[in-house]
Amino acid sequence: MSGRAAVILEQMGADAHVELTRERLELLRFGASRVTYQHSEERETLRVRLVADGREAWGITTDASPDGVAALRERLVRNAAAQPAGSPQPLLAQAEAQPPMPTFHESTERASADDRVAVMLALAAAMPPRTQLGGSVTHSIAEVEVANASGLRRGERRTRASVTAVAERDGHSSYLRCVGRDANGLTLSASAARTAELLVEAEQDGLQPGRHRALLAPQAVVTLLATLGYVAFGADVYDSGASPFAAALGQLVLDPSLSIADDAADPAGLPTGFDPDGALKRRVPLIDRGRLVGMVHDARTAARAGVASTGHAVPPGWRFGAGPSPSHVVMDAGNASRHVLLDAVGEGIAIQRVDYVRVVQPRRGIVTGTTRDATMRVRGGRIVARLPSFRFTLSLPELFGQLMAIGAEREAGDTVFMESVVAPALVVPAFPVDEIAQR
Amino acid sequence: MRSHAECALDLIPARASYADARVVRQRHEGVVVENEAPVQVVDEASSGIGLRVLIDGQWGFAATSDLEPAAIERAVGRAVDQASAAGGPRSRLAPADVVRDSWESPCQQDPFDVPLSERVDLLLRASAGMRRAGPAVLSAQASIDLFRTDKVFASSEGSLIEQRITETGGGLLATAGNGDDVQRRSYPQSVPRAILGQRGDFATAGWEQIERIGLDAQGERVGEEAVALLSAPECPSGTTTLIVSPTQMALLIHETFGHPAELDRVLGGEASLSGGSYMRPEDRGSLRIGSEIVNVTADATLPGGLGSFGYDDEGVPAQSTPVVRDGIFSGYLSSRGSAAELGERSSGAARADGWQRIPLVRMTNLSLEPGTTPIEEIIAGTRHGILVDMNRSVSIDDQRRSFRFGSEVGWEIRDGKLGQMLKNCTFRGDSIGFWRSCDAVADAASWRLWGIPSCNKGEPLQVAHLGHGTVHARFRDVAVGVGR
Repeated sequence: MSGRAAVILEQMGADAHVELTRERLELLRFGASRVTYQHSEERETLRVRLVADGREAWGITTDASPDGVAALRERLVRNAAAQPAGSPQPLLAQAEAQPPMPTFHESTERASADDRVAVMLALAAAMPPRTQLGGSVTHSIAEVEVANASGLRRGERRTRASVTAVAERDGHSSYLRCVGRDANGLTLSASAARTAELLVEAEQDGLQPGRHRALLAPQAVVTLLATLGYVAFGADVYDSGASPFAAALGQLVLDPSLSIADDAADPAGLPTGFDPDGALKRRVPLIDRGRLVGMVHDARTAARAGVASTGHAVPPGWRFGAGPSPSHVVMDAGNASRHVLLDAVGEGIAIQRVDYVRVVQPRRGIVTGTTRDATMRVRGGRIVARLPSFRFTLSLPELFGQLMAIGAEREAGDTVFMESVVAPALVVPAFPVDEIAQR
Repeated sequence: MRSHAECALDLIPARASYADARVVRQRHEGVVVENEAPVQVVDEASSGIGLRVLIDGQWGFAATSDLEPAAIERAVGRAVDQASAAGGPRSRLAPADVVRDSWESPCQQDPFDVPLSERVDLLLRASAGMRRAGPAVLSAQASIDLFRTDKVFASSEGSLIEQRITETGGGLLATAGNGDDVQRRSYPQSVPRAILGQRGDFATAGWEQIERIGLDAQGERVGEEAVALLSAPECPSGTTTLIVSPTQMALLIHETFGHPAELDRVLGGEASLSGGSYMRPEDRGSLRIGSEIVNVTADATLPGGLGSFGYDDEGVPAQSTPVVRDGIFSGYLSSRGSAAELGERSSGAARADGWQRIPLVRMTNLSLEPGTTPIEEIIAGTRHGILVDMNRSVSIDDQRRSFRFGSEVGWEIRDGKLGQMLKNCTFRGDSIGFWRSCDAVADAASWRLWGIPSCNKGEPLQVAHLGHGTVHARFRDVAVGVGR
């Protein structure tokens, strides 16, 4: 680390918390099997929280030069002074050393524009003839430094590699999503083979509204689990009574075979050492064999509850709220192979991906969304036909409250409000079909 | 800023058939008050340059926040490398006029000149008003956000455009709870997920926008309605007549007409993320996607609209585009690249949310044109139904047909009169069938232009600011309620 955050802290000359991030993002976008854009972005972002006389102000700037810092300081001092006095959260002290974490991989840092084109071409080669591919290949590196006037110092380099593709063939589609810190660690070949498998010729079958036994592929579980995490496991949400699990700490709320944690050290996800406050990320068991056992905290909610921060603060001005939020949700794997999962379905459906999942009633955990890409008919434990996409409306506590099987293999994914989510496939007894999508 | 853009263009190699540079400087000041105190006072400043180059028909884009000459030169090099690494079919650009101009959005009173203490005081008054509804109000949030964007666009074709856009907005959000239930009420407009800093109603305007929406005068009503929702009956499940209010209508036309009309989606450029569209080129001019009284226009020239500008981020002048005429799908929102695929000129809808992003096809001010019936007559002519107000949630499929919206509040309609309040109202349908069932669109008396600062699209994700002009409209045989 360059130590520039500490230098900027000195320039601020006040009780301040400084986070300096230098990012490089390289991205290839493609559509209809052709490159549509190569994108390269470099930026430096300085975030400062200034605390003065019982008041606080936040500043964010891309100009971390001495002049830029001086101008920001002037604005923040003025903004703090313009507010009534309150009780801002004290700056976090450095309670313990930062343990090493596999957040950086050279393979991702070194990936070139040619490498990204090669990934796209390899995906195309893995698909059956007449397949059109759309998607993206992304490599990024961020160097994050945190320093505050209480002596806290943190630093970390984080790489991120991801590949997203929708493969379309003869009016049908199949999906692929791989994400991780290590570009060489992405299981592209295996994922591409699974994507291609669902593009093979199969009859189109009809589907009736109602409830169906269903196999949810890992990426479908990733999206639904992330949504449950967002509405249920933040301390603010829990305390407000808006969580579907409000006042249920210690109670059985989900299927007894299910265990869920927030674990930023799990190498299957995107390991991360600390949050924007500089608080170390701690493993937080959320659901232990179906029982609600914990929730995530930032420094503010932790102080209110008399516990330590779990390292789940969100950045100032975060688009999805101000309270602590789960960031690295992981669901324990089960022991069912794909063959066993399909057998458990017997007669039913297989859902590869769910999309546009939105909360309808947070208190009851009711969400709505649609299936997307490969939605398939399962008969006699085999995938036998294609189905149209459909809209569903369901209660997440009910969905995760009764499981028939849990897959042995997990996949990593992410959402715009959660850094990483790791989940296996699940078989559920009654997945609701509201309405068949028109095409 | 202008010199940075010209400096970058000077460095573009001769083998590039096209290049443009956008130098952008953005400021944002946001204040959020919750209950008795400010909880977020944010000052944001961002500046940088984004460069596009087209070499042998392949695009490259590079951006940097470092505006030193050496950094700009490195960015040019990266953009050229990116374009050189790509391969495949050649991209084209629709023709555009060379423009040298400047443009500034209207702003009567510079909002950045209004002291922060004044903004905080106003929000504290509004919050206090919401809390007067009693202890069931768990959270009374009020916010004001100010944005200013200065940008210079320069292209290798000779265009040079300078623009300044000032945007101002604010809103209220009361959350009430009683242990068994949590409900919310917003004013004047809401956004999905209650995003901090993007809540309320915005305009390309100055402080006059805050005075117009009168946050402190509405606090008490908003708080009372949030509390009243706790004891309101649940929206029944079934099929009924639905009247959609102007606030809810903004998101309805956004999702069912706006996104499907984006030509990059139609051409497959967003297939892996946002999805496609039901508006196929071969259906333009013939496909009925609404009843004969449904007319929708995208107009970037509306004064004060949050989707108004002088020129888009490819230097194409702001313009008005018919999307639906007499119920027939009529036109697309497009960029120079997407328009070229259809052999047309751009509709001037290419916008990026900052220096660091490529311009995408975005909505401008997409509006439902007023009809001829006063809203009072529409309600009076409804024997039994529900009026829904203020969006709370939205989900729609990747082709933009199958949707479900949730509203903050509903009002029962019985024998032509508004009745009791209903909570947890949702309605679902198929975009085309739903709009074909529209049998009344309210007249211009209730038409209002909303500013929505929270439209997500693209990878990397971009957040666009845009406008929606709306009125009430009535729909027949709509599925409402969760129905579980």
